[in-house]
Amino acid sequence: MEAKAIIMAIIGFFLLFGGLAFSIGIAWYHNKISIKNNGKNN
Amino acid sequence: MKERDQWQNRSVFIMAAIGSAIGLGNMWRFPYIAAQNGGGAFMVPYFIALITAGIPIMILEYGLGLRSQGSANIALGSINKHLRFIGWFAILGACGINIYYCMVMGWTWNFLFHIGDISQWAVDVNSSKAHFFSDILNTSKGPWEFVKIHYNLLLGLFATWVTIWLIIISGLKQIGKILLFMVPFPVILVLILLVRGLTLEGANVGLNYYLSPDWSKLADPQVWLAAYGQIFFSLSVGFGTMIAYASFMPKDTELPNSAAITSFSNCAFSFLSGLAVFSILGYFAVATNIPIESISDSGPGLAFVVYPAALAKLPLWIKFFALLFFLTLLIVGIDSAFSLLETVSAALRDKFGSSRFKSTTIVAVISFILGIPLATSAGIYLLDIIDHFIMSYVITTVAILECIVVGWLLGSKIFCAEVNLNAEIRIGPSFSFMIKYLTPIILFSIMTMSFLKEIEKPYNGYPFSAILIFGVGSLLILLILSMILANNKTENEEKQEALIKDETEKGV
Repeated sequence: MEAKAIIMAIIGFFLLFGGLAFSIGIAWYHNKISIKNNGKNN
Repeated sequence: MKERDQWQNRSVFIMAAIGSAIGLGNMWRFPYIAAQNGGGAFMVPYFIALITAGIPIMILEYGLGLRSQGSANIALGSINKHLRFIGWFAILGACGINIYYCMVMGWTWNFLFHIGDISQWAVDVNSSKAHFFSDILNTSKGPWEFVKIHYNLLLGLFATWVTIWLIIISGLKQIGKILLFMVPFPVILVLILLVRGLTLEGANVGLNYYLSPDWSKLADPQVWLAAYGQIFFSLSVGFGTMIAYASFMPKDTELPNSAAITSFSNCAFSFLSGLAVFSILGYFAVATNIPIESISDSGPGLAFVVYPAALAKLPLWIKFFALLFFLTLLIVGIDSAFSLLETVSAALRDKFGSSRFKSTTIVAVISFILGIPLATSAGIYLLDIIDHFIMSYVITTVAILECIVVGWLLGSKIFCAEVNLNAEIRIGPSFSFMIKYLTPIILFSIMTMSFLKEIEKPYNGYPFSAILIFGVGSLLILLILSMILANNKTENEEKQEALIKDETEKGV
């Protein structure tokens, strides 16, 4: 596989799955805070 | 008023939205569009389109559903009663799409039944083509040659409608449980196909074609429009589905980050599918000594002709991998199809106060009957024409109007304030800019381009009469029905709209 194709695969993976992981991370963090403050899962 | 159904929790709601957004387009459209529009370089406009149009319009639809706790007709009608028509246009568009979408699932059922002898009918691309067009579809020469109803297709159509009808009448709690299987399962199947593809000789040829960047393409505005079009058409927005799904959540639900999770999941699945598709196509190109460019295809041509031919060339476990592939198609399709059925069923429940069973059964039976012409020899032509007109005009028009309504009529500041009450990621002026200017302008450009092409020559070279009757005719029917439904308001609709207006004025 060409090097530039590998780099684009990594960039595509990083942007899309990274974005997804980041969003899930934010949701998880807020959920944790919410449980801590209210004892309630949102 | 009856108590409205609700998802069990936010995770189920997001799962449902992801299931709705991920459909056949992710598997059979994205890889081809990416390869044709700069390969790896396409990731740049695609990602920008996701951030600047995909996620904002998803937030917009979620917001409309959540604030109104109703379907698209209620959501828009509560802003202004004259806007109820836009909601119905979206809902009926969803109904129209589902009529032919279920037929595609019907084809998939047929392929599942023919997996046993895939090595015979998929010897090469030509024999695979003959199998699809002659054995399965029995196509005639044009859209006016119906010839007869093919019972294999009718049975496939029936199986799909029964499946999605059973899912929807089971209620939101059961749907939530079904989604826990239906959403992750295709991802696992695609991963298995990907691992198989990557371990084949020649996979690099396909992946180079899919991912090698052609940076010069970024200067071409058509590539940017293709990226925005791909994002827009793959997110299931403009159908009223996301509005209906969000309306099944309590009013304090978080929206912007939920929209981001849904949109990123959808795009990540597309990217993964591209890898699975092109790794196996690369192997096929090398094994048969055919240039990858000539076998790269999109739509049914990829899923029902080229890919089966490629799978039939695998050294081992051909039937197993063919089963995985068609199962994936079926599951991603059924997720989307039942979300479209739920959209229409929920709108009828909101309007007439009917039960879930009654409204779903009525919609399913009528849609099945309307889909019967698609099981004739002219079916694929009718499907192609209707799909083109609904996607290019109905859905795009609805999305443009939604942006105008929220951005200008309701006011993006009010909308942002409502959404930000429970937001994990706050939205503000950049969101307002996107829905007031950027998204509607781009969508309008996409629609205008499609319209100009239409004037130049009839879509796909079909006879003008067929375009007029099946294409323009479908649009007119949807338009007239939307007007009738919007003008004949029921007590339920009025009560719900008045309630939302009251709450908005009081700032609840």
